[in-house]
Amino acid sequence: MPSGRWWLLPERITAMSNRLKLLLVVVLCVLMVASGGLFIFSVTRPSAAYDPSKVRLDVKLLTRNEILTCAYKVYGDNNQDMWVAKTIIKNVGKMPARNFKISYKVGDLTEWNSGETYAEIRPGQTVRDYCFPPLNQQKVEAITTKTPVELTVRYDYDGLKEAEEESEKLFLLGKNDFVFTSLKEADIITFADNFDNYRFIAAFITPNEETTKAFANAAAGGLETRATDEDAIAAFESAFEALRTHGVKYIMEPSGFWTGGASQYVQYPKETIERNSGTCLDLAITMSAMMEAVGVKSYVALIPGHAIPVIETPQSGDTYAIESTFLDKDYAVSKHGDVVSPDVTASECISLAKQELEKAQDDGTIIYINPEFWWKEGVMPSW
Amino acid sequence: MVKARRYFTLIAAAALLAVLLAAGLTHAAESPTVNETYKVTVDTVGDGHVADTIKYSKDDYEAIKKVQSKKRGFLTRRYTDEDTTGELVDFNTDMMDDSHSVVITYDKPGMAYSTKGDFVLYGYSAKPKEDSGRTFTFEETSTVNSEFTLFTDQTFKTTSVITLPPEATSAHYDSADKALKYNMPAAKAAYGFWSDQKVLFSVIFGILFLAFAALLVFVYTRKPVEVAALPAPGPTPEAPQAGHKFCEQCGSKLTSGEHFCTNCGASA
Repeated sequence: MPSGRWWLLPERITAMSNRLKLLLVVVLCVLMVASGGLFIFSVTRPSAAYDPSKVRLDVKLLTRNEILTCAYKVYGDNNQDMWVAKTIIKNVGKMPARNFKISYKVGDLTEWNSGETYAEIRPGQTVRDYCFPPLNQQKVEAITTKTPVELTVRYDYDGLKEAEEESEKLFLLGKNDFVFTSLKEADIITFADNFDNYRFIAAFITPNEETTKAFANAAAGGLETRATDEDAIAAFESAFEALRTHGVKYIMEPSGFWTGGASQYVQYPKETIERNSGTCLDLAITMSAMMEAVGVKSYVALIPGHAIPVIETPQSGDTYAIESTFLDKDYAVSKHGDVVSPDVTASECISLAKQELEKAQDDGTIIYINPEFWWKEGVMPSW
Repeated sequence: MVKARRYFTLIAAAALLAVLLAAGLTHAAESPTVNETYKVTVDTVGDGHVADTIKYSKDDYEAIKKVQSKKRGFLTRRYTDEDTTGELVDFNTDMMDDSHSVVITYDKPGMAYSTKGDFVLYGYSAKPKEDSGRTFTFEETSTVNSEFTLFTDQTFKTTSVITLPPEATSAHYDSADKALKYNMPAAKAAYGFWSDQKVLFSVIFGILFLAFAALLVFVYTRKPVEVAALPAPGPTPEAPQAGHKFCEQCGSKLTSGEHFCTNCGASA
């Protein structure tokens, strides 16, 4: 038979020898076992079809150790980086997770927030979800010392029988507690590292608060502070004199012992006016707030161990600083009588402050806090 | 006055800098521009692999190197602070003496967000200078203070090169969100190719198995041909006698008048 006639194969096989038959049987057995094995392998492979019961997620909740309640509005603004908590979700399985919903609650200071929904988290994908809680103003205002609070995260996704919750404790600092830097002490190397949280000082500058505004308006009455340099400077000196006349004294700050080393008890302008006393930072903040209240652009300059209020005049853009601690005449004369006259005039204090700032500028140890800039950036006045 | 302990910390920091840098901070104002190349490669699940090369002048580089040798956390402290807790992995810093550069590398899982299937990379305030559809180049000049560098008010010229995964489609810059956006193919279970084609492979190998089994049965049940025994060797065969016929197939003697060999059945 011609070899090309395959249809005659059965006849050939019929006519084959024992040896050929044995060979064919062995080959067919091997092929059958191989294809059978691959069939079983295929059938037992996990299905690529979506099966929510196979979703495996690793969910980790992280919180900040301390929350500066003075800047509580910042924590509620998701345009800032000041998250209160973050959840890191990693899909460690092979199946995509679908409709992952997450929301947070901070003790009794917030309700459950509306949260975020992630339509899909792919196998191997990591999602970072941040908590920016709108804290209740009345409740925050009542916090005067470091207070623990429990933050709870709740999440759910397709395939989960019921929503899961995790909690972490964090601490809310008192509304007057200010921590200058959140860096570890070992990581504080440059001057600016000491004032890592400097922008939150802008939250203490409250020009629209009633007492502050009334006090500033009375001091700057009749002056065209927005129009002329002279009137802006006059208003600056007038505010200084008004605080002096009001009897405000310079004091060392009360201990903020519960907040640790890099911190200070900082007063709002209203408190400084009502208490008739303040630290250098309190006085600089008060002067800044009063100037902003009457439309003069202001700054607070931080230099090593000290804070000084500064204004920028509307026409020339020149800056003027004033040694605001010297509004306490007794302190100025008794401690710095060699550099001031017995009257400790405002113009003297402006001259002294200029020298201090120039020296700090030369040393590269100065930070200007521009409240208007930071308010625009979301660090709004607290009250 | 700012709290006393704060004051001492400031003095200590200033003293450290004075010792380490000698003229470090005083030459800060005239520090030359720093060239930074920030390269990000984003993988298929949105993880970013970052290589940040910061090239300083020789003097600035030497000053930084001195501080880094004393304070190991100097170059990393901003990457490992509370804000970035849990976000960066495999962080590494190299000082490149020959090029006066600092090279910082790290991975950032979940760098690109995806909420509705599309991916978003935030944080690019200006339009890209170059856009190849997969690689985007941004340029930005900024002034950073000593929060981020050793010197006050140092100017950084930063070139950011973002490379998206090959599967990315519809990549574009969104000026409203100041973000880079792109799409990825639909997600599927990551069990591999065999699982994806499970049904097809099951059918193919099932059929093959049955076919081989049938063939095996067929072959096994065939009766093999019984090969006839060869005649035993004997004396030299006699010369065929005239008038006798022999089978051409097996050589058996044929009886006259037979049409088939009685031994092998071949045609006579």
